[in-house]
Amino acid sequence: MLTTAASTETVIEAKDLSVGYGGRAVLTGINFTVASGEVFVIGGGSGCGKSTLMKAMITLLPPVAGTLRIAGHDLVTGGDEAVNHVRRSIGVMYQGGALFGGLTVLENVRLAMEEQGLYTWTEMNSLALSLLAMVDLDEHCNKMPSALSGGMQKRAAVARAMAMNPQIVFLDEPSAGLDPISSAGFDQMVVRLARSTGRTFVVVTHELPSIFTIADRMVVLGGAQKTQLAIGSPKELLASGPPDVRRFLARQPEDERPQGAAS
Amino acid sequence: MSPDVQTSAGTTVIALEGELDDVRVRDLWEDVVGRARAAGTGSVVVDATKLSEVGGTGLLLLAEIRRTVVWAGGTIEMRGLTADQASLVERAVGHKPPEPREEDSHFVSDVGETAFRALDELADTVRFIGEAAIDLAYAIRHPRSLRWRDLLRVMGQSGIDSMPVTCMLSGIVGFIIAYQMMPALDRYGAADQTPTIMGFAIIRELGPLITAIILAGRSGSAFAAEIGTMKVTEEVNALTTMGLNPERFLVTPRVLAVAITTPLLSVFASFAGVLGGWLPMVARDMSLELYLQSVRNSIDQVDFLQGVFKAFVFAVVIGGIGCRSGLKTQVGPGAVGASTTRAVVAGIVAIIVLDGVLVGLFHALGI
Repeated sequence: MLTTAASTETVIEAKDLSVGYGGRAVLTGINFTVASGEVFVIGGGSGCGKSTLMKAMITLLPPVAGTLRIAGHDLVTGGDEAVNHVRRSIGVMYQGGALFGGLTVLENVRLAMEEQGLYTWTEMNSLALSLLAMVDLDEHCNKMPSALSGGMQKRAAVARAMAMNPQIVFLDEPSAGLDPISSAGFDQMVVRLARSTGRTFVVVTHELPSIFTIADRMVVLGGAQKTQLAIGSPKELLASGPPDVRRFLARQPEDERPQGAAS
Repeated sequence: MSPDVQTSAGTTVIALEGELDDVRVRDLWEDVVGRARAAGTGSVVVDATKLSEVGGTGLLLLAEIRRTVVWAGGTIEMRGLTADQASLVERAVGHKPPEPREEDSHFVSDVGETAFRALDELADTVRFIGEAAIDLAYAIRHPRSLRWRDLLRVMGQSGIDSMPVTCMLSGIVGFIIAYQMMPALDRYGAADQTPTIMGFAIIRELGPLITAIILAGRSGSAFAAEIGTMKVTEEVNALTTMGLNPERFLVTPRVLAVAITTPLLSVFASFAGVLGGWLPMVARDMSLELYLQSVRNSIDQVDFLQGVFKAFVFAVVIGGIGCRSGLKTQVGPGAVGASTTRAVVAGIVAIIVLDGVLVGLFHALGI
């Protein structure tokens, strides 16, 4: 588990946050803060609202109520200006990588830099290659995304997410679709990148081995009302969290089926 | 072998014996389940101690008996099952499904809702095309903002690649029109006016229209499929969170590409249509030179520019509709297909309606 990089500066703050679709809240009562340099996991069972919360945090979904402050800007009250600022402060790796199929891996990483127009062509290539080297993909820089394995596509997507030097990197289900070895390798990469760059990583996952490997702290979502069940380090929550959270972290299924009449 | 069923003091005992395989279950089902149902809120005992074998469907029969009794509010005891079998049968009782909700719909309200939805859709499409046109103007003023590689790729696909099929279709249509028209004109001794009519019909109307229909089928659908797939694979979301405007990034190069290539393609299509119209005239010993001269005399620059202008307008509308359909792609396996179909149908309907509007507009302006 990563224990070194986190500082006391808060980069994400959710207070009485409700998120949902079309103004209708599907997840309520969210309260947590994330410190700079922390690896923070949003966990919980399938359908608990993890992805909805992440969509709100990466500005794809307007929060319904409460406070959601990312990199100093409140997405509930800040309007378009806050949204634009937050987008400049974050990088996102989507579940399937979401690399642009018509561009090579290098061009994918270089894309946002090209559009911003801050660097020369040589500088952009150099930066993109360095980022790809950090995720062990520099040898594949001229390949098209379709020529890469699922794990490599996700690593390339991490490099792209870090291209604009974001304060916070969001990873959506990084282990989904990966074999156990690739998944473990990905976890190690996340820990290495977080330690070496000091960036904040917010990871949405329900993979328990990943959670225990990478998370400094985590928030667990769930319950019948879809809300925040607990927050803390995975080990603390496993030892002394609420029963539902302990059951989730200990991989104990809850038998929800009604039983027939007594025999 | 029928089950042994005995009822006494409010308790129905169903004793099963032998092998409970697929054939036996089929024979027993109605009888046994019916008896369980008849027990109502009473007590039922299923005695399986003499069953020699219980297959998968046998367990389903036992589960059905249990479900029937439990859901009716009765009590049930099952004897002679292994612990695993008893657990599975008990679990299979499940939840009572909710009563299906009756659809609250009425023909008149359905028609009204559909009409309002269509109007909203139309307003949204017009707004989108307007925004695309503004982005287009911005891109022309700021060429560095353009994705040139995308622009050139789409120009190749929508222009050069479309040329053979567009010219072929236009040529065939020109041939058919001239061929069908000549006998009618012959009755009035006006067959020599065929080139004049061909000039008007092809250059002002059919050349741009055929080009636009091909454009809707090839490029409009391709835009919807490409962008729709990008939406499904979250590439559009990735652009958004990278701070790049998906409309400007994806829509502008595509709409600009077809806005450049379609008028040019329309010129070629018109020429092919006019040439097609000459073929029936060969039988009348009309030389190509004389035919083309007659066509040339029948139209002026305004007619030609009218056709080119129409092609430009059609291109912007079809490109805009195709891109918008892609960006509106929903989730699910059929979503991209639905977007593609919508792009083609809406594109063709739009250009035909728009053609009528433009004809009226040109007439009102005296052009």
